[in-house]
Amino acid sequence: MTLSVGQLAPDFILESHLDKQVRLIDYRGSVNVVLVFFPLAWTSV
Amino acid sequence: MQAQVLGLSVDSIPSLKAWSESLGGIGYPLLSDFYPHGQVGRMYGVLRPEGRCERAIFIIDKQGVIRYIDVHDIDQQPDNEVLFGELAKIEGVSPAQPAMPVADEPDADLVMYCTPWCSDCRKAREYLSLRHIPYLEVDITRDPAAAQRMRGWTGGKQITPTFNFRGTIVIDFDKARLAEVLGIKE
Repeated sequence: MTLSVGQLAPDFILESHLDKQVRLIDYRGSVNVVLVFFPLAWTSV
Repeated sequence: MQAQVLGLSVDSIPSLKAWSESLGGIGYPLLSDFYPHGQVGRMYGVLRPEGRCERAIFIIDKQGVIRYIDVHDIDQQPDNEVLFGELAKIEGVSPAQPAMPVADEPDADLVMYCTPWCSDCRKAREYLSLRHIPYLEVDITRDPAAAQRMRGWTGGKQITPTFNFRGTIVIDFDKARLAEVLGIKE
């Protein structure tokens, strides 16, 4: 899938390290989300 | 700054926890895209062939619209200044920005046409997300070209959700038909 600015961000439900499930669509209507993808833990900060 | 930061990698939860601890504890959620492997990374177009994600940042506004995309060289750190600048721009705009209309069918295996208030659309999102099925959602109230396309399939009526899976159209939240088309065995 190729995403562009202006499209709706695809929803997802994932487990987090804070022991809670996070669903992207839950933030709709309340806050902006900064989604940061990184390759692997311990590769850098 | 009114924004929720979410980190995401293909690491497992134990790995993310240990890493967070080693850094003194990371306060924002680190999401595990471990199983199905790289599913979300793939959906966002940032999964590398070796099975790890690019360093990439997506800013998503309160309407769920992608406002900024930055995909970086794996060895580089994205520039914080640039990031904060983009965020400030988005937060400075008080009226809701309409999503840019997409002239052609989006590039995704499964596209779901919705309106923001449609309750069946909500059920459909749940249905797909729980089964880890990637999809791209199109809001027909902000995309007249998409609305027109949808009406072409439904015979002129506004029926949401309507799905386009690689050219096969499923009208309405028809679970049986959807399962058939997507190859879901329950």
